[in-house]
Amino acid sequence: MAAPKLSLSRRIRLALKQAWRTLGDSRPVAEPDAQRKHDEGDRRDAQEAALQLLALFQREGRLVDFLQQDITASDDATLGAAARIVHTGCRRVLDEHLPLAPICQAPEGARITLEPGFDANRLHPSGALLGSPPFTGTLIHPGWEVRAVRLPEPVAGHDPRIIAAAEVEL
Amino acid sequence: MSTPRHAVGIDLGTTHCALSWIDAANSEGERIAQHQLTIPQLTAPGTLEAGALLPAFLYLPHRDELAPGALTLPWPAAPSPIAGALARALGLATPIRLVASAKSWLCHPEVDREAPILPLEAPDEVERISPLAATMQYLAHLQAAWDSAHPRDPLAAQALTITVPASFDPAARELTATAARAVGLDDFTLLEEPQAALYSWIAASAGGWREQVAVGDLILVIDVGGGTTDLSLIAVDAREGALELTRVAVGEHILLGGDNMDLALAHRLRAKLAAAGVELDRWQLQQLTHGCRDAKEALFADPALERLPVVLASRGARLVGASIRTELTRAELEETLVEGFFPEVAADSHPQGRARAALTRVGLPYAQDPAIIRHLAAFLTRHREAAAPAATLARPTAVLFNGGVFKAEALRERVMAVLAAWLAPTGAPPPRQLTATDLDLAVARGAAFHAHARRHGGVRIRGGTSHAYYVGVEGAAPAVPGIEPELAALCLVPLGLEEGSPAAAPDQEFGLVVGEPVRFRFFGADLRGDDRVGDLLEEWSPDELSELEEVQVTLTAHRHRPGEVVAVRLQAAVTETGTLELTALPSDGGDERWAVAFDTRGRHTRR
Repeated sequence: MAAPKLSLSRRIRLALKQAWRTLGDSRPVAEPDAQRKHDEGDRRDAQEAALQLLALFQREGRLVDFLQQDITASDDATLGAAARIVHTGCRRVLDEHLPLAPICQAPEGARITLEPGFDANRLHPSGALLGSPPFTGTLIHPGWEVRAVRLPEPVAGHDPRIIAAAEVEL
Repeated sequence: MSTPRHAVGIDLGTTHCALSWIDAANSEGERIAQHQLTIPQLTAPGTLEAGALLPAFLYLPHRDELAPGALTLPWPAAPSPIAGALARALGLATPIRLVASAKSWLCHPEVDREAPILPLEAPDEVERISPLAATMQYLAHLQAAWDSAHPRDPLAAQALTITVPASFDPAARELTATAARAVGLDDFTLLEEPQAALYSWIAASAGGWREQVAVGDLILVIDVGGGTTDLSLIAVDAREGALELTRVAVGEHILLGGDNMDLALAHRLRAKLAAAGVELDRWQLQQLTHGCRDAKEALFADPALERLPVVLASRGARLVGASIRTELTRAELEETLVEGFFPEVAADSHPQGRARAALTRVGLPYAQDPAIIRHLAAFLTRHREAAAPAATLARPTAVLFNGGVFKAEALRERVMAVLAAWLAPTGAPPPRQLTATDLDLAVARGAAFHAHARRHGGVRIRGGTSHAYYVGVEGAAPAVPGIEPELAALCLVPLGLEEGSPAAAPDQEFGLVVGEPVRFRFFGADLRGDDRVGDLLEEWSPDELSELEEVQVTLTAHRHRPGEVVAVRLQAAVTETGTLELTALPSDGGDERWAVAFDTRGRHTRR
């Protein structure tokens, strides 16, 4: 294959890095020249991964069709029927390509304790946030964590911006 | 060639292919390290994904249909045909370019299996391919996938087992072997799929299977794949103190499988929608079939669910308001599948044949009766002598299910209940169920185990040929114009001939003209266990012998001149590969050998 292959962990890292940039700060961070060229390639790969994911959600779950439609006048029963298509298909994409697991196994509403040195990426305390850990509180949301990223191999020569080709039946 | 490192099993299914392997270096006795190859394939234009299954579909794209580069595989390959998930998806919108069920065509006696005939409905402009070439495509794809994952251990250098339906006749087995050799796989063994399923069960038990069966057991393997149903009986005996497995009977080729069930559900819901004034097009019917499969699996998995909605998306971008909603109820599911395919019928029932339409086109000989259970009744009745002389029914003591259909416990339970009811009058206890795992992948896994056990010792299922085979010999009565000469059948292969058995040639001589092709009619019999090589049958009932493809031989001039008549004898052997090998040899003891080939060009092309 013409496109260089990236290891799985590298692709995950790039995808997360790109997502962080897109969400947080659109201005590129100043970097030395030698890094820049390499980084542009990385960014392209990460963008491609994001587009691939969108294409998967559209292909399997018609997500783009659903979001792009004006639903203000639709009644909830009609909306519900369409939501089943989106739910079934997009859920399949998640299960196959981005399998998820809750960060906390305890049920919502359970009392849990955050030990000193807890991982603030994974656990976020709020409310009467005073003193120092251990913190004990109620689990409001168990969190989500992606256990694996299994995106399709990008194929050289294919334009990933095409989320769905226009269909013309002869 | 160096010793193969891996034992590989390939399941060439009607609807899916799979490849499993065992790393011998990391396996000890019956504790084996088994793996499943994830098969890279296109799932959309420009999208490459890997899965355990390769859908057995080919698509022949139009030259302007897809952008260059959209079909790039991880290995160098021609862009056409496309194999796997993308082929199936594209074929949904453009069925005239889709090749499906090529395997069923491979054993279809009415067509030329080496001629480009698929897709059958394709207009002339579409460049068709032969059933043989389609089989080669799947094998080549699996081979490329393996070789790119194991560049130092190419597939051609591994110990390889390829599965075929138990009901494949010698010609279809030979064609499968031809396809494998044509892609460069020279060293392999063919294995019947139900046997592979049993090997998988044995492998998964890690030695514990010996506690689960005993001498005297008769195991019924019911293998319902996507498109076919394959039945086998395997007996458990003792030999030199060890348990021995012998395949004693195989069923007929039944084109009826899990896809028929999903389609039956879809047609049921389509009728429901039609009653409400909603008509579906082909694309929506296909979606409905997928939706029914999902709903079926969910309803079978959760007995508390009474109904599940099935929603069909519009083909256009408008999703909300243009989708069609219906639902599948538990009552509909049970009526359609449990009662439709597995009704509670008597043990002496037979599959019902509908009168065929007067104008029949060449098509696949799909089973007329969808009730798998009636096919099972006919099979057990036909092979009743596996129980005892004068028995009315073979009496299985254990049942192994295979195929994704049987993930549904309700269907397994129904089959077990019906079998118990059939056996009760004979005084036999209800059979027990052997616990199978990986119903979709068991055949590939069992095939890998077979390849492993062949090299490293381990249990083998014996059985040899499932049929005895005969060539037609014209009787000695004087010819009468207008009346076909009496035909006798000369036994070349006894039932149960095992691979590697010494070849034996009957004394019967045939005078063949050098340089001219000569044909023989060829017959198979699945019940005549007493016929020996050289036996000449003068008469038989139509139920006993079924006519297969003709065989043909051309004597090439060597020490003979063209036109000369040479007396030859015919001899048969089962090769190590598992195919039947027929040879003509001169009666005078000369050392020439001429191969007698199965004629797979199809009956209708020459009659």
